Amino acid sequence: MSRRETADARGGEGSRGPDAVDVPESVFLCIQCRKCTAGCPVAESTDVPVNELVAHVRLGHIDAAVRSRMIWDCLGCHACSTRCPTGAEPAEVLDWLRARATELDLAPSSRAGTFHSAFIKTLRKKGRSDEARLMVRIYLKHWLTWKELRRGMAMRGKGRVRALGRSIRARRDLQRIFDLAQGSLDR
Amino acid sequence: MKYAYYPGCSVETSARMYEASLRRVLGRLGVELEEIEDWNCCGASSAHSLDPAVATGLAARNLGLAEKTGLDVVTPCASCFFRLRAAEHAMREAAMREQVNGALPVPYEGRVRIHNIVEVTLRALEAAREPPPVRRRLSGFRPVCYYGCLFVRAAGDLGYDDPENPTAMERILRFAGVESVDWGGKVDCCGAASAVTAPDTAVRLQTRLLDDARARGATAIVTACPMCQVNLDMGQQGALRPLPVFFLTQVLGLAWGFGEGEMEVERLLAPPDVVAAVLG
Repeated sequence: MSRRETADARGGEGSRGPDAVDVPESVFLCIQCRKCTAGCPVAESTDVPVNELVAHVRLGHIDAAVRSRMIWDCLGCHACSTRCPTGAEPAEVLDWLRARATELDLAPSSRAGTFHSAFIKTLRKKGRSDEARLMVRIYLKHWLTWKELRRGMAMRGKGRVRALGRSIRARRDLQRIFDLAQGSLDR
Repeated sequence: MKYAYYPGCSVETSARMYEASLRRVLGRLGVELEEIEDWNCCGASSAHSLDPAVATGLAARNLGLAEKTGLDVVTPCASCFFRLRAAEHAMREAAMREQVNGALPVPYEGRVRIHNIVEVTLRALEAAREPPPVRRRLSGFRPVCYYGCLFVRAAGDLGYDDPENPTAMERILRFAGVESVDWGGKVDCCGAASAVTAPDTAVRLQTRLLDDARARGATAIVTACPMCQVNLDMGQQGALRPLPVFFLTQVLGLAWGFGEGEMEVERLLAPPDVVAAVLG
């Protein structure tokens, strides 16, 4: 995704103040038609709808955007980007905001905030994702409901919960790929 | 036809019956699968939310390995399909390609095409001079076909289907003598990771899907996405009259005469008597 520098929100068009950042260039294509939000499965339950997030980013209000609950409520379904008539790529903007929030250590302590770091820890170690290990990592930090326990046991009873014993052979490859990261992914 | 096979992590665990059934069904269709050697996780559902280069690198390592075989890639998982296609697109940008290829054991040159199992199954059936004969009539089976999000929304042309009103699975099921029920939930979200991270959201989205399917007279759900299957199957666990959630390849296999054991139907969470009743 190409980047473009925003005008600083306080300084106005063309000036580069302390808040100016390189944002995904696609946001400048947004026409605020709200087709993204119309199809968004979490629009009715989140704080900042996706079309407003795109507007924030476009105006350089990055702080408001990275602190929104929406970036962690997003389910990654990509309905927004698929239905966008101008190619503003709201789903990619959300990815970008989550990456920024992680860099700034703003991931919430909720399950949604724990999910990604737990996922990455397993993946980094094994080279494959391991649902059982992922669940354990999440439930070590958050209470498990009775219903969830029962469902987990049902899955186990059907042979559908298996911890992966081994990692992939080329663990050195993984290390080199993770070294591509801009910030730390270990939080 | 032969493909480089990218299984994805979930067919090793929660979607085991998917792999068991797809290997037999594709074998019956003459589609050969060569598993990508020492493949790694595509990064879904997290890497792309944390770092674009890492996400592209994770998926592209598999593309480089597949490219060496000279085969196109097929994957049964919607999330993997989406991530592999996304990486393939990202690697067309010179800066990303240079950065990522520097970290890969086998650089990716951009010559691999990525398909999903729905497409490969449909194309094989349409090209077959004699499609496999239906050996078991699933007489009372009235499913809705559930595509979910990521199979239809991957980068690049889908080619074989309409992303907003897909019909590939309905067309495939006709080869098994099954008429599906039309409905409005085909490409709506099952809740994805919210089943773990925000259960209220998952319940809200799943209830909407299940209510619509029931209102149209469906007795089951057929999907090809491992995450959709797990979410809807687990979401209905303990329900009195759940709609059993089958993998597409399980239904094909049953119709073509494979046993319920071979298709691992017993791994569905729906009670066996409910499953037996809907299969008719």
